[in-house]
Amino acid sequence: MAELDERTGRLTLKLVYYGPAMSGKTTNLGALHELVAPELKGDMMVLETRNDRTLFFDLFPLGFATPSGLLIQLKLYTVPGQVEHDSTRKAVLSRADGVAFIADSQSNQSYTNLESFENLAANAGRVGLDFDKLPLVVQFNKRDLSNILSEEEVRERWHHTPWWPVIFASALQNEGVLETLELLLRRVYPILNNEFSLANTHQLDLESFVSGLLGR
Amino acid sequence: MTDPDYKTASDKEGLGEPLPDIDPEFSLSDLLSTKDVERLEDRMSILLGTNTEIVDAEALQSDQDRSYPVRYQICPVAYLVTEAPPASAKAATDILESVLYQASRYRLAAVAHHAIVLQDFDELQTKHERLLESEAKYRDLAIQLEQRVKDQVDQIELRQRQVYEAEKLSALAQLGAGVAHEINNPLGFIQSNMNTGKTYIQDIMDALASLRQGETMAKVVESFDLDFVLDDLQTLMTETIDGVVRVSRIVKDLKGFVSAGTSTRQPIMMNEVLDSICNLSHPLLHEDIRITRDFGKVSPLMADKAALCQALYAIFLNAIQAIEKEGSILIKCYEDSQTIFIRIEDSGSGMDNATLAKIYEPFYTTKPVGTGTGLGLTVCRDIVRAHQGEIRVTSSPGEGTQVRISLPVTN
Repeated sequence: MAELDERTGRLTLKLVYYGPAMSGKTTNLGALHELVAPELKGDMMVLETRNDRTLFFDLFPLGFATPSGLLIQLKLYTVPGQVEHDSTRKAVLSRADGVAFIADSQSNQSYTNLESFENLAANAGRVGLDFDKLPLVVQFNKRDLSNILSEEEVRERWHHTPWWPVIFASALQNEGVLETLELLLRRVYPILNNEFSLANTHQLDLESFVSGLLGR
Repeated sequence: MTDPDYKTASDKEGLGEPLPDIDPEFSLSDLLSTKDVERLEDRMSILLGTNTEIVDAEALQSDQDRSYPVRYQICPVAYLVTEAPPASAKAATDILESVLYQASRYRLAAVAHHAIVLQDFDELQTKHERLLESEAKYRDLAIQLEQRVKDQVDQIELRQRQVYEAEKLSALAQLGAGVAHEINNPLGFIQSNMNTGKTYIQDIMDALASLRQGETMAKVVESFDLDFVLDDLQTLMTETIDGVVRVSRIVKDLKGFVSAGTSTRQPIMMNEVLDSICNLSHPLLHEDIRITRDFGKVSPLMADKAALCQALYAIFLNAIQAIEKEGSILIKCYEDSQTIFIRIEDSGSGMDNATLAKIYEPFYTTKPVGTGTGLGLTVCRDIVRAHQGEIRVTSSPGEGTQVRISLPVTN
C-alpha cells in the first residue's frame, strides 16, 4: 500500500522479508545494504534481542529522486521469524507492497517453511492484503549448505505456482540477494505504475525504477 | 517447503483491516525534545567555535545559507545552520544523525510495541466477547435444560399415575379372583344340595302316590326310606341357608371396596372394615397362618371407605406374603384420645434397614413382577395422610414387620 505524499513529493514503498526463523532475512537485508548503491541510502536499523534474533523488525531505508522531482523512498523490513511473534509479523506485514519469502533450503526445514508460508498467507488476509494479488518472490536461501533440497526438487514443487521462478541464494555470500530484490521490484512496479502513473507522469519506466533503487 | 498449496485464512474470514503504521515519518520534535535540541545546539556551538543552530526542516527559512541537512533515514528532518568550516559542519551533522538514529531506535521500538500490545489487546477482547457469547449460549442452554428436565419429570409423573391406576386395577383383580373363589364354593354346594333336594321331593311325591293306591304307611315309609330323606332334606336346607348367608356376607364385605367409585366420606366402623378385610383375604391364607383379631371399642370414623379398605387390604396382604410357611398375624384396633390406632403385625421375614428405607418409593418392590399387591406403601401412606393420619413401619430381618396406623376421629 504505497503512499504518495503530495506535500513533500515522496512516494514511499514497503517491502517485507518474511520467512521462518533463522532462514536469513536479516542477512539478506545486511547483504543488500552492502550491495546496493542508490542515490540515498539510510543506515540499517536493527531492533534485535541480545542473541541476534530479530525482536521487532529490521529496517533498511533507501531511495532516489526521479527526473520529475519525485522522491521514491523504499523501506525494506524483516519480520521476526519465531512463531511467538505473530502480532509483530502482522504489524510489519500490514500495508506491504510486496513480500520476499525467504525459505530455508535445508531439507529438514521443509515443514517450517510451509508453516511460515501458510502463516504469511493467513496474516496477509488478516491485515487486508489480497494474497493472490500480492507481489511475492520466493527465495531459497542457504544454497551453500550441504543438506539441502536440490534445485530439481524445488522446481518440482514450485514450477506450477504463480511464484515461479524462485531465486536460489546464499545471503551470507551475497549471492542471489540482489536478484531477489530485483525480481520483487519488477513484480511490484506494474501495480505502482497503474496506481501512480509512474511512466507517464514521472517518466519512470520499469528499468529506471529498478536501476534507481539498486543503484546501477 | 513440502507443498506450496495453501489455504489462506482470508478465504474463510474475509479481508481484515490494515494495522497502524509502525514506521511513521518522524519529525525532529518527534525524536528529540526542545530541551535536547537546545543542549545539542550549545554543545555544537562550543565544539564548532561559532554560534550553531539546529533548525527543524519544516521551519527552515529559504534565505538561510550555510545550512547542512541532517537526515533521518534518507530524508532531512533538520538543518544545521552554522558559520563553521564545511568539514567541521559535516562532522557535526554526522554526530547529529547518529544521535537521531539512536533516538529513533527507541521511538520505533516503542511504536511497534504499542501497536503490538493494542493488537494483542484487541484479540483478547475479541476472544473475551466470544467467551461471553458462548457463556450466554450455555446459560440459555442450561435454562432450556431445566425446562426440559421439568417436562420430562412431568411426563414421568404422568406415567407413574397411569401405572398407579393400572396397579390399582390389578389389586382389585386379585381381590376379585379371591372373592369369586369364595363365592363359588358355597354356590357349588348350594346347587348340589338343591339337586339332591329335588330328587328327595320326587321321592316324597312317589311315596304319596303309593299311599293313595292303598299301600300301607309302614311299607311306603320303609321302601322310600322317608325317615332319612326328610332328615337329610332338613340338613340340606340348613347348609344351603348357611351358604347363602356366606355369599351375602362376602357381597357385603366387597361393597366396602367398591361402593366407592365416589370418594365421599361416610361414617365407617373400623372393626367391621377390618373384619371384611380378614374375610376377603381368607382364600389367600394357608392353614398355618394364625390370625388374631384384637378389636377394642372404637368410634365411627368419617372416611373414604373404599380407599381405606384398599390401603388396609394392601398392608394385610403384605403381612400374609411376608410369612413363608407358618406364622401369625395380629390385627389390633383401639381408640385412645380421639385417635383410632390400628396395628398389623406379622411374624414374617421382616426387612433390613436398606429395604425399609425404600418402602415408600413408588414401585419399589421385593416381590416378583406381577405378584405385588399393587397399591404399595406409597399409596397407603397417601390415603392415610388424606385422613390426617400417620403410618409407621418398623421391621428387622427375621423379626417380622409392624405397621402402625393412627387416624384421628373427627366429627
